[in-house]
Amino acid sequence: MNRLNKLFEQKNKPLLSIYFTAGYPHLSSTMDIAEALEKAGTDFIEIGFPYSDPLADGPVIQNSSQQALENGMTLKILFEQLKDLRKQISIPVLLMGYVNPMLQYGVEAFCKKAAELGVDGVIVPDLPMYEYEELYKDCFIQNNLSNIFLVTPQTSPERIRKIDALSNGFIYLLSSSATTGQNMNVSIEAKTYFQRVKDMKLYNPTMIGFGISDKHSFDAASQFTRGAIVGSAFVRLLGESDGMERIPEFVHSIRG
Amino acid sequence: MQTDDGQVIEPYSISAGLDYPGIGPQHAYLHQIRRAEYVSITDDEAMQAGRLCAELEGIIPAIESAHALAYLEKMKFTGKETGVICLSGRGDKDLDTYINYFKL
Repeated sequence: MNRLNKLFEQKNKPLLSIYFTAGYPHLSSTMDIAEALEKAGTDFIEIGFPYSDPLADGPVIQNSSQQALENGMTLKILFEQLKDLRKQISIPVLLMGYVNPMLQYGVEAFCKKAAELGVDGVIVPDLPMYEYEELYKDCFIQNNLSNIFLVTPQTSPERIRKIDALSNGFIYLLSSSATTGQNMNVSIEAKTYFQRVKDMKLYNPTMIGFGISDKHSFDAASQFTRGAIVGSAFVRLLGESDGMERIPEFVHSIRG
Repeated sequence: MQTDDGQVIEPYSISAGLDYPGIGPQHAYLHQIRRAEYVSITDDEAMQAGRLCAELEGIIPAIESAHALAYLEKMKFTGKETGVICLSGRGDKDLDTYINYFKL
């Protein structure tokens, strides 16, 4: 059981998770942002390790990844920046990124290093379920890392069941089949899909992400799940000159 | 084509179809078992070969295929072989590139 599992066991109010890209806006911003988010009351955070071809991301996070790479961010540097992670913050931390940098680093070495630093899980949108199960599952389990799978409105019930069986943290429901940063349309269709997944009474808790940008969308999402994840709206804030100072205000505006 | 950190490197080729950082697993395998030999051709060699094919055969090859044609000149033949070159695409789509390159 890791920090993420404990968090989901204890808290009953909707959980707020916030994503940001490591090394953006400045190479050294990573831990300052993490500390500010914890202080402001974020329940857990997702730290993105940038990739040159971020296929699930919309323009805001794409730009932040590009900027982070230009700032010199690499997985090795990120791990260096996280060396005192557990002296600095205590909330659960997930790493989010794409599979190629992990492959280059070595998935086993990646898992070991992440666990050593006190990371609780990983979200890798382009890591297929089959490869995870066949090649990496044991490594994740040995290192007590949760692997977070994504579910879209098009995912079949059979596949959702299979994902549920392979998951040990939460399941990430995409509000639509688009990239990150589109405004969530709380349409009848979206609600039907969220309700459909809720009615499946999955073993794992669920969180909704992609398109959650404010209190309205956060509250709407939280009716169907344990909480929601904000990414692009927060990364957009970080891009502003006074973004760092406005982190508490941003978090409080979503929490209400 | 990638960095040590696993970031994709922007490739370069005068031919749009070759301007791609990846390689197919079949090619990688054929290379590995030494069933096929892989060589490289410069932009100029490919463009000249493409033009020559158009002049001699009346066929405008795609610039991708023109790379293969260019290698013909570098091969040593005994006179008994039969050579096969696959023209995998037509050069109509590349006319702009040919026209600009040769300032036609």
